[in-house]
Amino acid sequence: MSSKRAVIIKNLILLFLLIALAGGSLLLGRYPHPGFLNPGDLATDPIARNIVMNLRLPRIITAIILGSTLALAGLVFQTILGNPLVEPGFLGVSQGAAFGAALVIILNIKNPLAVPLAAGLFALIALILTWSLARFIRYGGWIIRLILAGIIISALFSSGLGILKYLADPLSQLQEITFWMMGGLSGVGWQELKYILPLTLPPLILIVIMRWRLNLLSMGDRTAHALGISPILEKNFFLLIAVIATATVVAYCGIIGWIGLIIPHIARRLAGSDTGKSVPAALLSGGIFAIISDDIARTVTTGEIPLGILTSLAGALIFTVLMICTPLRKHA
Amino acid sequence: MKAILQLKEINFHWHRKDPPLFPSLNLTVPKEKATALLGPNGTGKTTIMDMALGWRHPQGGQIELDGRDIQQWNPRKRGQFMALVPQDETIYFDYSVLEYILLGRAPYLPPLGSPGSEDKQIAEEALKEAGIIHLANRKVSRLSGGERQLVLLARALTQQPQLLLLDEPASHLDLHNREKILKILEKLNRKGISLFFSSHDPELVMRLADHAILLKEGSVIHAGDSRDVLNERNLTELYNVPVRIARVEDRRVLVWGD
Repeated sequence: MSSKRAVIIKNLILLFLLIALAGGSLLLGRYPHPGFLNPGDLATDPIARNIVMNLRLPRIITAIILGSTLALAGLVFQTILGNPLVEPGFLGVSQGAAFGAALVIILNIKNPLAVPLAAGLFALIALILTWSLARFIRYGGWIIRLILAGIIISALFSSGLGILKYLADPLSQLQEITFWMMGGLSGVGWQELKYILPLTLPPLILIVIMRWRLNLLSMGDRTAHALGISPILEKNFFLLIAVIATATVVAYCGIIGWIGLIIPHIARRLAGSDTGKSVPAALLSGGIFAIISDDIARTVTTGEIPLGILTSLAGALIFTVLMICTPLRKHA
Repeated sequence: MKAILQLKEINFHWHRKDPPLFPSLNLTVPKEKATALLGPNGTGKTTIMDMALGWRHPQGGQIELDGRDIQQWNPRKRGQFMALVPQDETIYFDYSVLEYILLGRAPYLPPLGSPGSEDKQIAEEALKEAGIIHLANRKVSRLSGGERQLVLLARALTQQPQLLLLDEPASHLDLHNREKILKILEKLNRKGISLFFSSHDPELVMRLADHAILLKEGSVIHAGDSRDVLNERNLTELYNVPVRIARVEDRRVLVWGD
């Protein structure tokens, strides 16, 4: 049993961890030598100050936003779809974004904003197509139709992506597409954060404020209706804001797998299934997971390990441990 | 007899081309009484419950809740006035009983709100009313069928409704749990909560209902005071099997078949 006080203490520990990790990560890197920077150097070394303030700080903030967004969107999707095995890319968003990014790379458009803009645009197009197709499907309830339509649209964009990869110049464009799809935060600075924050913070804040209502949406639609709410309307609202936030982070950071799947499981184990308690836990755990992954990505080698590879590796291992230690149903 | 719920000339079909399930259905649920909707399997009792709830819409006719068209009710006000106890419910996540019961406070909370200490107190009262306060911290997934039914009832009570809809309230319970739920429902009805429950079990209806509605092939074939309506002739007609009613002490029991 997770009593209210125990959950608050756990969430405070997570918050402390997140702040400590963010602070530590600011000092962690390969300048002037691999390891931690002496905080005293910030006052005397302008290069160090520049690296911390203009490279690491926006990157760490983005990592927190990325992890929190994917984790919270994952929790929203799993709760609303009544399925602990879904993640935010389910409605065609990830494949749509990948297609958009690949298209810009193939068309050789060199504007730095082109890739995230196209990725975000095609993520939204995929979402609109999924939504529209679901309205025409004559099988099952609304959520089943959404999932079916999401599978179809994902497959369509996936084949489109395949065609673009086939057409790409294997020596330059194909590599660029592959690297974008593996995800990473190396290209994110204050300039990019200016676009990321307004599209991710409002959805995150809304989900946190309205978190208790998500419980109602995990019930069947008939029960939710009997409890005095409009289930379809509210489900659509939550899905839409979760997908907008997800599309934004995918557009700038590429496809980062597994965070949206495993962090909600960890959050439910830490805080219980009540979304009033699990939402803050998911928000904080997602940020922590992303910071640690990004720290490893940028410091372990002289180059940079794509973030998506690390999150998939860590995610698969953690998920295996979670599933072996306890049956899925119990902590779902 | 004042009505709390009325279905007037309801025309309902699943698909436009299919013959209607209800060509023109009329029924009245009186206020502060226990009303049973009795009929064989597959006659559309659950569909009637869904329409009464405002969840399913008929193609024709009108449904009035407390004298007002159900479609004109604000969802929250409707949730404060009427609650549902479903036959069973799939629960995907592992809530504690108290967390689950608290969902019944939703109609009283603003969109950005979450339950406070007063709501918790009301939920605990509902658990006491259903006799399951000792289960408050237990996970719903670890409850027996009988306990789950009582939890569903307690959640409905947390809505503090004036009308309680129950879909086959005791259909898969053993005798002990049946008796338990029956006693609770009788007590609630004495307190003035109107009950409208569907059942295919005439004996349960005889025990609990003041008013009975007999449903067959899309129409109400008999309705009225349950002591008058539930007789051998009507039940034989309803189920197409010979039914005899015997008396054991002051109870009426059913004997059926050739």
